[in-house]
Amino acid sequence: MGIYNVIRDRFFRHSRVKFRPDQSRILRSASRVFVLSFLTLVVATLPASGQKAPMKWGKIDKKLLEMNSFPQDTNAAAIILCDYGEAYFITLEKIEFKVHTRIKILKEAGYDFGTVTIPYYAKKRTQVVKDIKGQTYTLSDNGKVVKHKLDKKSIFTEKVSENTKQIKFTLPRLEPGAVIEYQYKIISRNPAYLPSWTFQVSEPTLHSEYRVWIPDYFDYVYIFEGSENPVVNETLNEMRFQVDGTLKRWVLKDVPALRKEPYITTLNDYRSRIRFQLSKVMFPGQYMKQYLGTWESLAEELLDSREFGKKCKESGLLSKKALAKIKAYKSQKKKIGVTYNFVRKTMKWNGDKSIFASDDLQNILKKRSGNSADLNFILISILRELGFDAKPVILSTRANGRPVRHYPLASQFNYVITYVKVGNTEYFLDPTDPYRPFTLLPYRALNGFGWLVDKTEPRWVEIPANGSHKKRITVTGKLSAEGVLQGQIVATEFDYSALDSREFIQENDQDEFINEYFTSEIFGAEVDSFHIDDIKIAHKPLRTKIHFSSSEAVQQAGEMIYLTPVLLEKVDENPFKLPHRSFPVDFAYLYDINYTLVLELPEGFVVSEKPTNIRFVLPKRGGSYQRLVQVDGNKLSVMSKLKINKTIFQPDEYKGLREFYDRIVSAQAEQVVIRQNGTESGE
Amino acid sequence: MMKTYQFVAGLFLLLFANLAGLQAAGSEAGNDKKFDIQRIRPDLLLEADAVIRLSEVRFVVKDRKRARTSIRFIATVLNEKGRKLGRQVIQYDKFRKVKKIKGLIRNPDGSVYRKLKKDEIKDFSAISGGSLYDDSRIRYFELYHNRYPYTIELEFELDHNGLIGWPSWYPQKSGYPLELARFELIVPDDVGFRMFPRNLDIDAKITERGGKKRYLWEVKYQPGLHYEPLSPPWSERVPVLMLAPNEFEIDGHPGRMATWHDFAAWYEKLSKGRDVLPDAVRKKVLRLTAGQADPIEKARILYDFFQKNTRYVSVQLGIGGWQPFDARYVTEKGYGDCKALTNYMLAMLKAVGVPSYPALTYRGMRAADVIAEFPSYQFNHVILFVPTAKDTVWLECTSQTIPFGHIGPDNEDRNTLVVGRNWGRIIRTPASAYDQNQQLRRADVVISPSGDGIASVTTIYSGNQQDRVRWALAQKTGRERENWLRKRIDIPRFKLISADFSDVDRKVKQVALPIELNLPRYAIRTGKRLFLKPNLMERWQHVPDAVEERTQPVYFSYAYEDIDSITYKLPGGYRIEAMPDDVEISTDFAEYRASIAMPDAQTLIYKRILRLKKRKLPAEQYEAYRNFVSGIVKADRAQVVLVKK
Repeated sequence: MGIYNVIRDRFFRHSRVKFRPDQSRILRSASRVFVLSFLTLVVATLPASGQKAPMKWGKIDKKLLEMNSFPQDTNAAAIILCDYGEAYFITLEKIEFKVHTRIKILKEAGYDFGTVTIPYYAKKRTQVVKDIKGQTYTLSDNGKVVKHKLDKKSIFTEKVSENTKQIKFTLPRLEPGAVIEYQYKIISRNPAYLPSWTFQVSEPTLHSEYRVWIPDYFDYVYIFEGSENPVVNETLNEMRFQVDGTLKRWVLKDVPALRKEPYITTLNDYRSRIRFQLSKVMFPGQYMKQYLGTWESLAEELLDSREFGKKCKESGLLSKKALAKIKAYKSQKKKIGVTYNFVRKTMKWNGDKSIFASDDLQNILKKRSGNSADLNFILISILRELGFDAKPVILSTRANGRPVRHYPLASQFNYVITYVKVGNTEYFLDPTDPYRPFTLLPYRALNGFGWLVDKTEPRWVEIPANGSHKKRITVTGKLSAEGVLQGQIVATEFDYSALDSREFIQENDQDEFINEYFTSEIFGAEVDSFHIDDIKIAHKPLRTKIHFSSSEAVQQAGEMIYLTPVLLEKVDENPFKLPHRSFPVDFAYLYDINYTLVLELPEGFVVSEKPTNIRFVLPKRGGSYQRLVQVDGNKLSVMSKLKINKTIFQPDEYKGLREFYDRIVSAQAEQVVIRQNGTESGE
Repeated sequence: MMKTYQFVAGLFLLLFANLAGLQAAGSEAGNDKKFDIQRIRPDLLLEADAVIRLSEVRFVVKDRKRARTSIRFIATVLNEKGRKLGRQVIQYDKFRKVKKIKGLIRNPDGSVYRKLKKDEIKDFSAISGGSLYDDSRIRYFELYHNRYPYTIELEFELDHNGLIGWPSWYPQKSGYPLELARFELIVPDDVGFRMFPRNLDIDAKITERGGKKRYLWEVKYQPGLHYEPLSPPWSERVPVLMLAPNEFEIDGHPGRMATWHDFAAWYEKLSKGRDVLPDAVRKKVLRLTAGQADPIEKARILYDFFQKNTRYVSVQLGIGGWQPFDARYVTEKGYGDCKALTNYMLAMLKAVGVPSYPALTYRGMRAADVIAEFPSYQFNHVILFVPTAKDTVWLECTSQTIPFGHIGPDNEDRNTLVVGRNWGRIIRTPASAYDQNQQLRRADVVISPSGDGIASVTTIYSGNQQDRVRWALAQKTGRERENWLRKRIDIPRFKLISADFSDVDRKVKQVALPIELNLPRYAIRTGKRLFLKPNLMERWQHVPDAVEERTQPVYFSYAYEDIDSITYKLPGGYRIEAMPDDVEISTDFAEYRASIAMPDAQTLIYKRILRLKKRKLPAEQYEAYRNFVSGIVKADRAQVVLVKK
């Protein structure tokens, strides 16, 4: 937390939803599905309160300053020597969160760690930051340890938004080799806010420790994520200000750096951290107050709330006449489609993701713009008015991270979509993009599971990618003896491929689309004419037809002509450049790309040499590539098929995936040699 | 960083798009037939995404430090692409308060559809990325309607208390056609000011009343400006009327700017007494330079010491946007912004008897040049000017990694205001020639019979090309450096075996980057043939778009030279079946040569030279430049075909 601050105002926004209890326990990251009960597993060996803090302000070993490399990770620009946090209740209403961090700067690239940002929720002084101290240690020319104190006047408070502020400071006299340390406290008046703690950051951490003391009146759920294990994980009973309570302590040591890699959901899905959710409060002589409840109670709370459930059943959003018009359709699917299209086309998503409505739906309709929840609630309300049993599904977007599925935690969701079941057919809808048909969910929503908010049977449901990135391209053409290729491209795109192209056309224009997606791939291609069908009809495939010619698509040398036959959808370079990978590759949806070339050779020319037919696959049917080359008289046909059959590849499959792409790149670079009949002599 | 005012030389283009004034038309938010879309002149609608109906700015000066800007802006949005006109960013700070904001959306007939609500206006802090803290904030809102066409209308006022410059008026600077732009300036007779129009030739209507003059400029019925690739900076392209007062005052610091001398005097006064080094540092710099007589050598030694002991951190509060923190502050903290760090370097040089001067400039790779003949506040940066009897050195003081005396493409070849003791003068930073900005590459590639390659490549970057590499890599560590490199190696399949980044950490004028690569199937084998692309990793692929009628000169960031010499060892048993011809393209602004030599049957030497000799070309040469590039694109993809004997 000390060095990894994230505004948690999300929690406050959502805390108006109340929950009911469950047992306190620690659970591991959802993907690992590894739940360990705190109470049974941990036996306190040492009284944690008797444990000294892992470091003392102002006292450092000179050796730390003399050290100038870190053999365990030569890439490190800084080392988190010790990151220590305490979150203790100091009254029954207040939590004091104290952070003390010490960092070794190895290189200039590590200077970023010398600038500290502490965001906090400032509304009505819910949180207050105090007692900030900082200093930098350097070695003087004659080898003495010198301290440079952080000047109080150089600590700045920035008002970030209406309710949030942040404190910023930068430590003085940074240089490679310096050690910095800083401390601060955040006093929170809301017990719902028990700060989380991050044990793992972008540089290696030697020691990260977190202690919390909680009065027994409060009960929290602990969510421990990441692959690193605590070396200390203890709990014991301890009384403070005459209140019985529990002290917990976690220590992680030698935590490796967590660094970014391409094709992942979010790095936070893999980070070692602990988060808390208040579950219940039981003051003596008072009724127990439930915060974290059962799945049923979460559904109930959400459905009763003004910003959620009430918004799912507003009536009168559509005129009676319009409703009647939709009702007149016989097919249920058609009715859903028409309603979806109404919302999709009328409303503009403002880019904000939320599970709560931002305003009255009537107002939203008038503004014609709203957040993701607003748009879905409009859709749900209208569908309900039409007699459908439409329901909200809440989820966490890819960038927001994988949800924890063991506990009914509302705060982890940031997005809502629409669910309708007709007979045995389930529809998942999200009208937030103008060119997305109702069968398709956006990329951001494709994050595994969502939670169906249903009064009687709330449950996790799998979020389907009801489509793939599918493309069919055929090039038919004629090659002249002079090396001029004249031809026609016919491309049919489906689902995510079509969506991607439609969005491109919308943001740019048709000419640019033709150029960017097709003709710029064929060297020297000039467009004679083109036509794109069904640009605005989102549920239909997107069809593109282009007539083109090029005098430079082939290389001519004397009587020889060399042709690289995969003209389009060519994988020019391997997208997986890194030799190793520690996280899964997550494609979000499947790929299915077929390319065909049918080429008529010039009179008197024959194929002298051609690439062989090949096919190779990824293990466990993860994907396949196939290329066929055929010559039939003066006709050359080439077919190239790429399929990715699963969305997630684990790190141990990475090498295979990388090699798979390497082979595709090579295969598609192979050339066909065409020569004038009877010229290949003497060989 | 030095504080800039957005209406002088902005970052938020959106603000300019909407700089328009109050006054006129008397249209309170009611139904207004005047903005019925039927009234738009048809020729303006041709291929338009939106039409700016009215863009008004009113600037009322009270005295040398107080004024009010009123903006009124009305536009009809015809489709999604015009939508961004409804987005408004208003920047404010200690010296500018936002007075009122109004907005509404009209139906096509001019009737009001809805009004902007207070809670739709967001307030954010606007501390820029490179800054630790400053007092800039923004208000932001968007007027948007999903049914096209619609008309947006917005108004706001800024109260200025503290002025260093006056706003420039941009009647039109976007791709949207314009019906009417007006600028009204009201100035008391006793306030002196000057004007400088560029790409604009109109006269003001001047009226006088009660000791004040009112100037009114109008621009009517203009088609949208269109973008041309490789254009000059936008602020040099668009019509603008620049204004500057003769006297100003900000945060209690009055000054004059009728001449550069006057403005330099103000800046000098702000910095006065701030260049005194704490005793320990003074002794240290004397010790470091002891026995050194040459002022440039002294500067070199101190610059190295300076770079090791400081870093760039920007804090801009009030007058702190212009006044440097003193040398003691930088000593204690080890950081500062461009003003503080330049002042610190100046203080060190002063301590060893080398005079130097701050040089105010406008930094940026494609930034407009400071207009020498119009003394006014046109700056966002300061560097250090060190003239000596023998030579002149310029020092960029915000980088820990830039070599001594090198100021980089974002400072070179432009005007600066050098602030002397009692003098101020425009002095130009030098421009670099192509042979100072080189990328020299030598590679040896051994191709196996199966087509696999092993390459050892050394690329040496110098001058401004060196900056590119250093900027990208200096702040990165091992693995990130390798990943950066992997992304830039333009070879379809490769495995990076090793790379030596040690030059990046040395503050040398040239960065050599030796790498070893495995190139699986570099030469593609089909049956008995091997296809080899002799251009290993310096391929041009894109020709700039054709433009029907080029109106703007062609601008590049800097002149440069790339030379590649690649030697291939070919497998035995093959003969050449096809070989590309040598290519030579020569123009007065650039040259390209690609050639292949075979000293023996198994050695192939590819040589490619590309020189861009001029930084600016007249508009007429755009087509010639395109032809030049398409020739390169073609030549760069040539292949050699080998066939088994």
